[in-house]
Amino acid sequence: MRYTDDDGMLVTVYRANQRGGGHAWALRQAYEDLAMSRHVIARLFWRDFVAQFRQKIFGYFWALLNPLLGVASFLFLYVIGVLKPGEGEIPYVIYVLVGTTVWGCLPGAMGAVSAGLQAQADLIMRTRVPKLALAVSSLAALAYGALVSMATMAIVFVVVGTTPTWWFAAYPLLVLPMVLLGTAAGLVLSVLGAIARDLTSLATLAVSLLMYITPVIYLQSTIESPVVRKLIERNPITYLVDVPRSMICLGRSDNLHVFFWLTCGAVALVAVGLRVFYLLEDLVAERL
Amino acid sequence: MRAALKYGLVDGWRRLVGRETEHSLRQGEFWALDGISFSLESGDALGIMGVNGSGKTTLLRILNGTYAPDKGAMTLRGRVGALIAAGAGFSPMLSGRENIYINGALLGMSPAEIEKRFDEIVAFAELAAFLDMPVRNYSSGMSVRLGFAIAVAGAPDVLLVDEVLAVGDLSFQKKCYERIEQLKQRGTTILLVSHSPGAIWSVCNKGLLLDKGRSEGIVSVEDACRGYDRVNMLSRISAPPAEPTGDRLPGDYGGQRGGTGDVIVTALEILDDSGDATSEVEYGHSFVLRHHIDIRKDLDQLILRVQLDAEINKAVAIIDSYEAHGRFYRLEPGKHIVDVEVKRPNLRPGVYKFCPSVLQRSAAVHLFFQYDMATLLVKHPTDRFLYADFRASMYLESSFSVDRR
Repeated sequence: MRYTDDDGMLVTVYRANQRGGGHAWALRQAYEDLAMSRHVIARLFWRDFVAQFRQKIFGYFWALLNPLLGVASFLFLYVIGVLKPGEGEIPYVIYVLVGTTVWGCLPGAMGAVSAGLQAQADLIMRTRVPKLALAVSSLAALAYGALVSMATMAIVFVVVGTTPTWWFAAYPLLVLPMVLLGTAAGLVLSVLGAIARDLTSLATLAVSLLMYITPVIYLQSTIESPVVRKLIERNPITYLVDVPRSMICLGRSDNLHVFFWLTCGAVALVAVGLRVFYLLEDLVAERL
Repeated sequence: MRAALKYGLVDGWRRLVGRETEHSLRQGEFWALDGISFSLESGDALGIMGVNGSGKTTLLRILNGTYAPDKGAMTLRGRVGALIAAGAGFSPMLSGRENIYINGALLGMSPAEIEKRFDEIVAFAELAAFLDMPVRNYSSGMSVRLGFAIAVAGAPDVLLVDEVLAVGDLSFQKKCYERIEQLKQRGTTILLVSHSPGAIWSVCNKGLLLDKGRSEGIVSVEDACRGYDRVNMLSRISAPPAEPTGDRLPGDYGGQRGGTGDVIVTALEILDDSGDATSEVEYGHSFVLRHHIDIRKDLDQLILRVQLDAEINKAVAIIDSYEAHGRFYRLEPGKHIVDVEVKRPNLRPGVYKFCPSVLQRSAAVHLFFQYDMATLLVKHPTDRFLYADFRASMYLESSFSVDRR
């Protein structure tokens, strides 16, 4: 607990079992921690961003090369006929590119946040940076990742000869629910994964399996099995991938309202994730 | 590891469902700190001492907010700085200049504050010529200099320091201490964890001695150093001295004991002023070494000798019956007791081991010898502070005079 006393001095109190607040408390605490650590988060992002491109032949071009190579692998499967996605309104290349880019925000955010604490174990032990700030500092990379994704998509749109709608400019907002969902899962995993190390691996595996019941690289309409169709319909991620893609490529979607409610749900899950994080963060430091 | 997983899951579950963690200890658990209570004023410097596992690092981590206490509370007033590892968070691929900004932020400085103190940091670290070189090309000394310079550049109200005071060469180390002194003068409260009594005594005016997670509270820094040394010494004498292993003696010098078998020192006791067996004596007090000797054969021209070993230096003193009296002993077969009174020894505080031996003038070999047969702890004096070097064994009375020529 921190407060400023009558003399204007910051007072920090560490007390046993001081995690008494609920979800609202967790949100407020998160806001305070992140506001206080904004410079650290910015510097850590800058450190990791700059360091990852140093001493490389292609330098910063790697930022674009990676997502383009990801799309190329699906295109290869498509061209040789292994992948039969079906015909839709959106050209398949664009369909896959936007789908995989939006989908990537979920495991991306989850992986970044869940690994954040263990990756920064040294800083947890040796500095006073709030653990939440260290856990979510890698999320900053997703911000530039979004810009890189937009650049990649713009290049492919030009190559394919298709024009995106104005919703393309709102891409960062459209993927926000996926980022929030990944963050919520990552927050829980960052603390639980430090207690039981295999939980993160299990969760990563589960997300990989989830992709199979999400129309990321195939069209929902091509699925013949009624059970699988039902699963895809019931899968909330379906709408978090499909709605942004439809809005960017077609400018319309029948499920915009579902998308809105799912976004609200993702915000609520982040509050739950923060609450779990603050409840268990002490157990993490003892186990790093 | 299995218990850590089980307890972690149980504790995690209890917290998630709103049932607080029990304060009773479970199998394999212990209180790392128990009943510690102290308060410090602005400008105080507290030296926290204790042997490994005494709870020093845990205390520092709780003060740093890394661990949460299971019981109790602590309050820190003002901005807290942590000098727990010089250079924590350095990125080796980036230059010294870039790392100053990163490390400064990690230590709680705002960009404006780093900008303001940048030149001061560079000047302090003496690395102006290497500022744009990647840190991976720095020597270890250069890295810690830069780390220390950043860490002390801020002006915290409370500074937590863990054994990283002295880095680099001697003149840089002196600079580090001077900087710490400046912070103290400005009112920074310092908590220093160290195994070095010299570092603690140089920086601190108060001491806290931790022993198995407990403490008797704040004492003078001298008493903390004495107490630390005593706990350290006690832990070192806890292993019992080697016991005689019967009548059969190895006939060579290679082992812990040996001899011809004609004479055996079966036991060596240390007696205090009042004649009671002891393993500790006050500084400067006399003591008696009582030898229980079993003579197997009529022996003439015997010399009894005791070698005194300190922990680092061997044979720091020799007590020899011929040197003491200029005569030899003749002992008949049977059991004998020989007392050797050591008068007012000027042994410095420490742990000493006694190695008795029996020789014969006419034979240039030991009839009996045994290493580490008894152990004695010499306590710290209360009227003076002997801190200079734990390796030294003898204290020589001396007087100093200073004249300006």
